[in-house]
Amino acid sequence: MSAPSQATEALPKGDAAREREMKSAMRLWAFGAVFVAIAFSALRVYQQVFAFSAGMDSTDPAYKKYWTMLLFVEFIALAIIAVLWYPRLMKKPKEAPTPQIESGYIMKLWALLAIFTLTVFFQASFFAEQDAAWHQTVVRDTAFTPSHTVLFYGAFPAAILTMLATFLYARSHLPHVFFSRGFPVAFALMIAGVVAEMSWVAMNEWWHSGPYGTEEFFSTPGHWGFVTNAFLYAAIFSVWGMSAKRLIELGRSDKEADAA
Amino acid sequence: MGMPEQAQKSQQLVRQRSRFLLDRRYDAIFVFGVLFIVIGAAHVVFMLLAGDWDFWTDWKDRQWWPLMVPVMGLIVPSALQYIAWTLLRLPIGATLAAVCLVIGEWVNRFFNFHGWTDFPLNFVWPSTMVPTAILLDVILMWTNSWLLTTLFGASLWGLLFGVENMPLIAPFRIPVEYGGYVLSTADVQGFQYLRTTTPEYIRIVEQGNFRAFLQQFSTVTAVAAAVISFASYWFGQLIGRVLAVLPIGKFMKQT
Amino acid sequence: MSIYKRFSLLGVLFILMSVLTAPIAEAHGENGLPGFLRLRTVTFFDVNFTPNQEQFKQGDEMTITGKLKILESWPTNVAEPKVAYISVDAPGPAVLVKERWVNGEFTPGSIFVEKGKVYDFKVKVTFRKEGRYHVHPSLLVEHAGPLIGPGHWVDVKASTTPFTNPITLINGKTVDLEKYGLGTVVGWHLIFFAIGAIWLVYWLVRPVLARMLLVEQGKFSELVSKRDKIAGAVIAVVVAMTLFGGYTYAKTAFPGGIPQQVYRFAPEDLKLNHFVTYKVESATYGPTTQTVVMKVLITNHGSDPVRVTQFSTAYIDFVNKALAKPDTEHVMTVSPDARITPGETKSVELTLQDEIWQKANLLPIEEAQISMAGLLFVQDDKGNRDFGTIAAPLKTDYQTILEVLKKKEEFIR
Repeated sequence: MSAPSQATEALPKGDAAREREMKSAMRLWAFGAVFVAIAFSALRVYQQVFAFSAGMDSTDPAYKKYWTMLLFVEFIALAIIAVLWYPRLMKKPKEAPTPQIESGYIMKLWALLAIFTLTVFFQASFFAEQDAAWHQTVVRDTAFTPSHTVLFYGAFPAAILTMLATFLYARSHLPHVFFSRGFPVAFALMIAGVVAEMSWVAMNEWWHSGPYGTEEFFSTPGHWGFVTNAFLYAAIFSVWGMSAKRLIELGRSDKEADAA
Repeated sequence: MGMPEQAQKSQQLVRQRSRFLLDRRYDAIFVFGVLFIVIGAAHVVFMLLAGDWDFWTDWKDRQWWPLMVPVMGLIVPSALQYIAWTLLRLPIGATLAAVCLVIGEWVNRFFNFHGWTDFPLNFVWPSTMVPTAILLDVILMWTNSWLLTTLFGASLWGLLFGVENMPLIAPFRIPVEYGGYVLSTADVQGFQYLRTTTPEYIRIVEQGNFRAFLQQFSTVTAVAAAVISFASYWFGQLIGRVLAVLPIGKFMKQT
Repeated sequence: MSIYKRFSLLGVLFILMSVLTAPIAEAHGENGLPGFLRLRTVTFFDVNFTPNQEQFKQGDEMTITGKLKILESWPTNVAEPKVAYISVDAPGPAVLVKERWVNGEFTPGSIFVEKGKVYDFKVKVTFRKEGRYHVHPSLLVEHAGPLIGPGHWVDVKASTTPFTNPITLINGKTVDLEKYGLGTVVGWHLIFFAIGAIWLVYWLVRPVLARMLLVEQGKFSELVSKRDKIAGAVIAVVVAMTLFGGYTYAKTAFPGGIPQQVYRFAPEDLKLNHFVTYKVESATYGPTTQTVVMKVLITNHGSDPVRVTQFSTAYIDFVNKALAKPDTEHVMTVSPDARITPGETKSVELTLQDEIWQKANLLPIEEAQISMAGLLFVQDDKGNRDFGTIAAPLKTDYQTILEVLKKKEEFIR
């Protein structure tokens, strides 16, 4: 299909601003994805090195040194990222964007969504199922096992962090799309999803402390909160859908602008 | 790729109306996002509803595995099929979900079950639902009817699960004489490869009290799975409809 | 751009953290189990590891033998013991369980158990993974979870040849269970995956999002053309043929499969000759000195005089101080330590002063259950041994509780 190249050829002059926005969005996507991948891979390497050597007994001093410490490192790192990053995302553009630039904003929103989805991969797939493997190596002795420390207190908050980043960006740069008539249901569902996933950790631990959580059985009611909360992630398609519809509108108005 | 004349015409129309949407960088980032969110969602939903039957070969029996796995494994493919067909008219939603699930599972089994806790891969491989997912998508494309897709697609999904996984499990059904008992190879794997919190008694598998006419165990399970798949197909549809498509352009009123 | 630099710095920090050297301290997980669960459910005793050494090579074998009693003091807040599984506790499949015998019978799966019964077990393991780790016998009871016996450190060195796990199938073929069937599994997964990927790529090479506009306009026939429908038919036929191929392959390459086998039975009772009965008169615990004192009435129904030799609880043996060897880890004082003659009933005081109560978190005084249970052993001069369960709640005086709690608070501060 040769359509894309034709489309590029058909670009009228004066689209340099859009190209800048698009390129910056692509850079954000690439950098964010690589950063998330490296951070979680590093955590995975950390598990490989220290889980069997220092992570098998929560009453051991080495456990505190290597695993309780990691917990704080994770929280602090996430807090630092939020503090440094969020103000930039919340900064409103000085003037109302042209359709060209707005289409670049949408690209940036999608870049943020893409980074979020990558954290969801680590949260809901990679480190989630890993937990099943780790439970086969020790008896359940603490809520802060090497797998939980990364899953519940690393990947779960990371999903909240990136989801909120997307939300803040949408609010500052695309308010007329997402906040023109109230709070968007799509974002409400997404935010509820990531926050509820995190909250279910408490229910999960409570369940496992009772008599039905002593053996490791994954398809257990104690885990189903994670499932229903993950269903809310379906709302990401609404966010995509709303912005894609906006792209269609922008195409129209842009066409009219060209004609004029 | 050559295109029919009519399609070329509408392509032109699209170009006139929205050249932004034709910028394939949007497509790239969108497909990237879809891949990872679907891996995450399909995997977590499946693993916490039927994961145990998928983790270990000694759970992959004839009574519960071909029932729990396809029934629970249909929810996300069904939701994604609805989303892809309604928003984009793409008959690939179920296939994408099934492929993503397999990717997520293999990555995990390789890097974590095998690479971290050292289980041999032949003990922890995942089941597949890709072939039936393709059939589900093709049936929807042909019929363009949710009802017919439910009747033919969802039922094939449940019916054929055992068949599509037959070549995978077959080596592990070969009997072994072990300690004076006849066990399946899968049982021996479960006996030998130590799991500290998954004792033998916790596995929910056929225990010999599953009586079926003419010994047609697999058929009875497959038919049951086919029927229950109707329900899980519509549960998935509900998620796709209510949580993914309906909220587009919906707002909560601010006071 | 500076923000990106700061982020990259964080990433580098993460990586640096992960290449730090490994710590020396190593441990295992049993201290996390609630104290009452370890003390009052099961007592392991006579546990032996043969060969009793630390150095092993990959592929070496070790046999763990021992006995366990499911105590009459089984707590009511834990599910009744009915179904159980004797296993070992090690870091996952670091070891292979090759054989399991319960009361002299080979045991392929779980067993039915009863409170008050004694089980004699033998588990043979093969070391699969190199490294230094702890191996325990364990009993998993349905809804009570894993209960762990005494541990043994092993240091397993890598073997020069790669580890294999040969097993002979009923069709006479000997296969390596480490990778048996993996080629088949991966091969068929790849075939199915490839077909799925072809179907996805067929659709995704075209503009994806631009379809939305045509969907809005209801131009469906242009989005799914006749050609697409034919492609769908072709891929459906390919899927059907592959499924048939897979089915035929499974039937011809691996004939005679059987489903999973579940053998569960109640092991035959051990013949035990009991000639002594016990009654606990009182039991106290002094947390500051970490001392448990139990007064036990012992009646000898046998024909020879007996002497108290040992008290075992959870995975710990306390040996009568007078009989202890220099390397005995845990001892108790028995007073009076005189023999109990046939027919006699005697009150004996056992004093168990040991750091383990708090070190292993066995008697945390702020918990809902502070009680002691275990097996008390006596022996006559001919070497006949008998044992029975003694169990009692521990009385602790309020003043000492306050002291301990105060100390803890100070420590936290």
